[in-house]
Parts: sequence; structure tokens; C-alpha cells
Amino acid sequence: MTPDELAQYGYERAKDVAFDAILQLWRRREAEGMKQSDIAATIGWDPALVCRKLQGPSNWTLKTIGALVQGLAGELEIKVVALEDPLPDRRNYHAYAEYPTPVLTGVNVNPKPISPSGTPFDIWSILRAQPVVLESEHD
Amino acid sequence: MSIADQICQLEADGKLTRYVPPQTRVLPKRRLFLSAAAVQDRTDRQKSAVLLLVGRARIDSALTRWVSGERIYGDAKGKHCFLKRLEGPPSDIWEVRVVECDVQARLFGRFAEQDTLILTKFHTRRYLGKRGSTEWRLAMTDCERAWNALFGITPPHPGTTIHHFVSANCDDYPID
Repeated sequence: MTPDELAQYGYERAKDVAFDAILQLWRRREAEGMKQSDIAATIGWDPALVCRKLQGPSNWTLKTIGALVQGLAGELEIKVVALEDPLPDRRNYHAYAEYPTPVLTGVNVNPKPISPSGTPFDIWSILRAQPVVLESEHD
Repeated sequence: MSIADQICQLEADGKLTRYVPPQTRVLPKRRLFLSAAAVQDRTDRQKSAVLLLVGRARIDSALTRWVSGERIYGDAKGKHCFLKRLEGPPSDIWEVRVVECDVQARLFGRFAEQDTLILTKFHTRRYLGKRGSTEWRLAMTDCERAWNALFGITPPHPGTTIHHFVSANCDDYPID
């Protein structure tokens, strides 16, 4: 990724994370009987706008997020972690665990890893060195 | 040979490439493999219309949503939003929908097993045109052809509900 693409990727991820956080509380409120019109009434929005916002990640501003949080009777927490920090729960399922990385041989093999490299601080070398701990190993 | 073994062999042969999300400490919750054509669509700045018009960041963000195990969501009416099974024939062709941008993208593929998606080709939504267009049919047929070239007679993973394909963190929406 180019630096511009990496910055844009960070923005796209922020949108996704914000949307998922709002959606998670919305699903709970929905199960409790709340309607989108209730959110709209609480924050003074058009119900159609609430509906549109809850359809997928879009260009939300902090104002949008803050309003939706209030409409959902929630409270916003923002946490940024360092990539090298340990996972909150090491007993984490790894979907590729049963798909070992192949030893690449032969002339027609594309040896390039698909994850980006060349970041100024090579966090990947640290992360790759961390052992994968499977859930079953702890049970 | 299990489907996992087949995929590992295809990876060793350079015909499939696993997607690993950039910049995350979260371990993958779902699997995603890209065909050589999909890798080109994602990375080749000279030949990929999707890369040029939609952008690498938006594509990767969608792929990361899948692999990181984030919500596969539907809308308030119970309709697919992110992941959809297309109406065949050919059967069992899926699209990942990249919609929150000026030029939308559709990433075509098939399921090898639950939580394991094989993407074969990326298209802009503009290229595909109206639902049922010749371009849609061609794209779906190409996806089937790409699958057959990779997996031979091994059929895609079957299922009748979204939960047969996605094990967790997925809205309950119809796929037919």
C-alpha cells in the first residue's frame, strides 16, 4: 500500500469499526423493542435518515456518531491500542491455523505476501514471532 | 484430499493467495483466499479498473471485515448488505458488496467451506450494469470457470441459510 492508501485504509476501517459498534447496540435495543423512529425522536432526526445511517458504514462524522449513541441510550468509549500490545484474550481462534502457510517452491510461485510490508516501524516482524495460541490448547 | 488440503496445495502452487489484514493484532476469524486474477484486481495499478476507480483501501477494508470476523450485516428489512448469494445459474456464486463509495465494487467468489471464501474476480458495479445483464451472467460464468480450474470436480460449499456459510457474527437474512 502507498502511504495515501494506508491513510485511506485507516479511514475506511474507522468507518467500519464505528458502524459495527453502533450496530451492535442497535441490535440490542431493537431486541428490547426500540424502533428507529424512537432514535429519530430522541435526537430530532428524520426517521429516514436514521434508517439510512444504520444500513452500512458511510461517511459518518463525530457528530453523527455522537447523536446515534445518544439516540441509542449509549455511551461512547474510544480506545486505540498499539499493534504490539497483547490481545485481550490470548485464547483466540485463528482461522488459518488448519491452513499452514505453504513452503513455496518452483518457478511459477508468487512469493509475495499479501499483507503490506515496509512500514517505517516493522511491527510485522514482531507480530509474526508471536506464537498462535489455539483455544483447544487451553481447554 | 480435504478441501483444506486442496487449498493449501493451490496456495503452494501460487494459484491462491490468502488474505491477511494489514495492521491488525486480531487473529483471523474467517478465511479468505484470492485467485491470481483477484490478486491482480487488488494490486495491479496498470490493469485493474477496480483498483483505479474504487481504490485499494476500500477493497481491503471489505476483505478485512470478512477475515476479522466482523459483522456480516443486513438492513432493517432483513435484506443482505455486505454478502449476497447471486441468483443462478450458475449456482452458489457470491458477491462481497463494496457499496459506500462513488464507484461501487462487487467481489465475486464461492465458498469452499463454512467461513472459507474464495474470491475469483473483482468488478465495478458500473461494468456489471443492470441485474440479469449479459455482463452479470458473464461475470458469474467466469467465476464458475475459475472455480472449476482451481478445484476441478469439487463442488462449492452447499447451504440453504446464511448460517451454513458464516458461522458467527452474522445477521439472519434470506439468501435466496
